[in-house]
Order: sequence, then structure tokens, then C-alpha cells
Amino acid sequence: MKIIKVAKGLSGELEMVPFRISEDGVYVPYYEDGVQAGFPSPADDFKEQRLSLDAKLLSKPNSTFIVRVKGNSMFDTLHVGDLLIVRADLNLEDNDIGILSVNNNDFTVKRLDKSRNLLVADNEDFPNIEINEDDVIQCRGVVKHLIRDL
Amino acid sequence: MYALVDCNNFYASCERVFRPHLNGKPIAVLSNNDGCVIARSNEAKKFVPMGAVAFKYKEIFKQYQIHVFSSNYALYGDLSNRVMNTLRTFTPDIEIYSIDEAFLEFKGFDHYDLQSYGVKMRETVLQHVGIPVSIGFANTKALSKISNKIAKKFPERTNGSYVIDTEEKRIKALKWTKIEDVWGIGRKFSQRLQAKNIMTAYDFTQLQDSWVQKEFSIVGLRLKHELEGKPRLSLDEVKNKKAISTTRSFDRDISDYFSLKERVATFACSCAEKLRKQDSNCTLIMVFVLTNYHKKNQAQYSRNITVQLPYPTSSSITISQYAQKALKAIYKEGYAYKKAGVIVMGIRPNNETQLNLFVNENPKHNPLMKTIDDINRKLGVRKLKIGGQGLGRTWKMKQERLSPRFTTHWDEVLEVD
Repeated sequence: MKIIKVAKGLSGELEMVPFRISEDGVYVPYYEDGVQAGFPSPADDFKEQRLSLDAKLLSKPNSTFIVRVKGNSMFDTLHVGDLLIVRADLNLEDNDIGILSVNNNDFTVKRLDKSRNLLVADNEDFPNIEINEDDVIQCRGVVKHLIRDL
Repeated sequence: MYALVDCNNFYASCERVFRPHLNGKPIAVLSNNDGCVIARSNEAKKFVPMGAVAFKYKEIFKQYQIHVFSSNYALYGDLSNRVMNTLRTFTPDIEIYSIDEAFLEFKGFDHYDLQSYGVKMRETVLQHVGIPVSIGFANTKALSKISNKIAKKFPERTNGSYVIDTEEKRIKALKWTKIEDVWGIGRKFSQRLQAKNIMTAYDFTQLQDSWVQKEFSIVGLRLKHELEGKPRLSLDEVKNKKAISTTRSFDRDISDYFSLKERVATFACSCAEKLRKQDSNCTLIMVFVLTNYHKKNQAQYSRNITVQLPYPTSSSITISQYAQKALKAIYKEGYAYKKAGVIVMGIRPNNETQLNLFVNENPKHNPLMKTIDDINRKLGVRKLKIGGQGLGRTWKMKQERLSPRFTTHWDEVLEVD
């Protein structure tokens, strides 16, 4: 709905319509959809929302973080510069890629291999990280999607 | 039942969310302009008192390897929102009390084991947002504050969640709580009570109602009843604040009127912007100035003044005009000013505004402000300002130790290898 301006002398005629008088005229509501004189659009009943990337990628905004890849340890699953959409509400399962910290070291992105107790670097040129009994692993979240510029 | 949820050492915890190497390390967070310490991690508490003046503690910071940060409100604000929204999934009734505290009400949770529900809330917030919280349940708000203190003080025994649900627990908790730590009892209040040998919250509840009301008004009596487990305060879900302020310590002293005027105009505009953000107007504004009381050899002066506005407004133009008039009334030449501020009060929602019969705001202000806000929002910075404000560059908040704004700026997100 928009407010449009109507000529001044009309105010007496507009009692039933919500209106607003200001310095330069009388304003009444104007309905953009309008009343069509011709055949009503057959698509009106099927109006839908446009596709939303927010709805698809950020369905849990309060537990979603965005992280950028800066190294090649997960190549070629992940490339340098990829933006990772990380979900902290999900639990890290076997074969998931997570944002992980071992014993309070800086976060790193690695794949969990539960059976071998490893944090795997997908790039073979990089070493895997072994998880020992007394290591403390902190998970900031599970990598759920990625955004990559081509 | 009510619960008070409080984030543990919130600002310090925020700094740790994306930097695990800070876990277990002492952290101090400085106020705007890096003036003094406003938050500390547990590890830093024994070395640095609250409010410590930063430059006086430089050596201490170094000696104990304390990680010092400028306050990063972009990060703290976002993480606070995440915490509050996560709490909202556990009960719809929530009152956000401050950036790191919320009261929750639990209606119809009679058959719940609240202690373990609290532990679950705690674990969820920690996993989803990365912030540790403590939770205290009780059947009044004042008691839930105390219950929260117990949860925080004894994390091993309580798992960070405590429930006061029996007379025995209530009395034990009150006897454990010093009178000066009771919610709503200020320093003066507690000094008067201590003089009468009332040392704990329990002692306070043993007083006569009539005496409490006579000495401390109905507010004191209400508090006493709350501590006795009789609910007197309900969830205050009102979103709008009672006063909004913008105050800053300057990074150097200012003596000349024009620089001070520019600062006050800028603070006034910032208050007006905050008012517009919550669709409110104000009717009173207070302006204050003060000199640096740490420099004992300098002449000291401080003064504030409150001005009634002719009509409720949120216009930057009107508010800064009156703020400048107020400043003119209290400014004295020959002093080196260290701090100034603008506080707007008498705040009410736009739709409850009473129009004045004779003087009203220029109707052009409203759409103009809206346009300014829209443009500034689009640009992401305050590009459009009114004439009295500083034109940037000269004044920048001193933030030498600012950490990345991990969640609000694309070029500052966490980078991982």
C-alpha cells in the first residue's frame, strides 16, 4: 500500500476512508494491486516467494558462522578463498568436515575419521592429525555448504 | 518459575569464541577509547581490578601476560543476540535485561526437572554460540538472581544450573548472600543496613515490613517480599529503554568550546539515532562535562544540566540544538575536559506522543531523518551528518587492540587452514 495525494477540497467526501491531512493536501491509502478491469491474472492465486539463498543456506542464523579457507590442506574439496557455512548446532559425525581445535590450538578445517581416530587433510601433501586419548577437541561447527567464486 | 541466565565473563568469552588459544588465559577488555578495564576473565581477576585505568596497568598486563582487547561491540552485540535467540527456543517468555543477562519465565513447566533443563539450555548455548552461561531458577526474580550466583560460584556441584525450590534451599541461599550483593540494593542502601548489623539477605528478610517500607519505600518492601519467595516483579518485556546515553572519554583533553560543542552535537545525534531505531521520542535531555580527576594537579570541574524539550522528538537537529544550548549553559573556560556525554530521557513510543497545541516539530524533520538513516544504513557508515557534527577523521575512537569482527564483516571472518 502506498499513500497518494488527493486534491484539497475533497476531505469532506472521505469520511469512511482512513486519511491524513497535512500541510499540502489530504492523503488517502492507495492499493497497488488495484482492481483490474480486464481478465484477472490467472497467476494471482499461485503467487510464490522467490527463491531465497538465505532460507536455503542460513536456516539456523543463530548457530551459523561463516569461515574463509586460507590454506590448501583440504584441496581439492576446499579451495583457498572458499567461504564455508558452518553449523554449530550439528554434531560432528564420521566423515564430516568440521572447524576444529585440538588442545586449544587455532581452528583448522579437517575431516573426521572416527574409525582411525584421525583428523584427515583431504590433500595428501598435508599430514593428518592423530587424536590421542587425552586430547581435547573443540568443534566450532560442521561445514555444511560452501560458497565459491568461479 | 523464573530463571536468570547470565553469560560468564561475557566480553572475555566472546573474544575466545573464535580463538581457542585464549582458553585458560587471562583476558582484559577495555572501555571505549581504551580507557579502563570493563571486563576480565576469571584468570585475570586476581591481577586487575574492575575499572582499572589501562595506562596505569601497562606493566601488570605485560608481567602476567594478560591479553588486552579494545571493546568489540560489533562482535559482542551479535553473539549476545545469538545467545538470547537460542534461549528463546526454551521458553517464549524472556526479558533481555542487559547485553549478557536475561530473565526467563517458565509457565507450565511444573513437571519439568528444571535443574537438568537448565543444564541442557547451558549446553545448547555453549555448543550453538560458544558462550558459557550460568542459570539460576527460583520462583521470584530477586531469588533467581541469587540462585544464578550460586550456579556460577559452584560450577562443579551445580553444572552451572541451580534451582531454589524448597524453603531450606531458600534460607541457605539467603544466609550465604551478603547484603551488598542483593539485586537492587545499592551501596548507600547496604551501608545503612550494615550499620544496623544487617549483613546478609537473610537478615534483611527478618526485618519488619513496616520498618522496611518506612526506611526504603515500597521498592525495598517489594524486594523483601521477593526474597521471601513471594513474587512481586513480573517479566518486564518492554523493549524500550528508559534512558539512552552516548558518552565518551576523549583520547586527549579538550579545552576549547568549539571542539567540545562538536563532540556534544555528535553524541546528541547518536542518541537521536538510537531513539529512532526503537521508534521512540524523548522529552528531556541531559548534558554533562567533566575534567580528568586522575590528574590531581589540574583544576577540576564537573557539571550536568537537564533540559526539557518543547515537544517529544527524535530529530537529530532538534536534539543537538538543545544539547548545544545545554552545553553553553554549563561550559566554563579554562578547564581541560576529559569526558562529556548526552543522555536522553522521558522516552516514549512514537505512537503515544502527545502533540503540543502551539509548538510542534517541523514536519520536515521526520522524513529527513528517515532518509538520513536509510542512506547511512545502505552505506554501512555514517556518511550523512548534520552540520554541527564532526566531519570525521579528527575524532576516531581509540581502539588499538580491536579483535576481528568475526560475525559482521566479510573481510574479518575467521580464516582456517
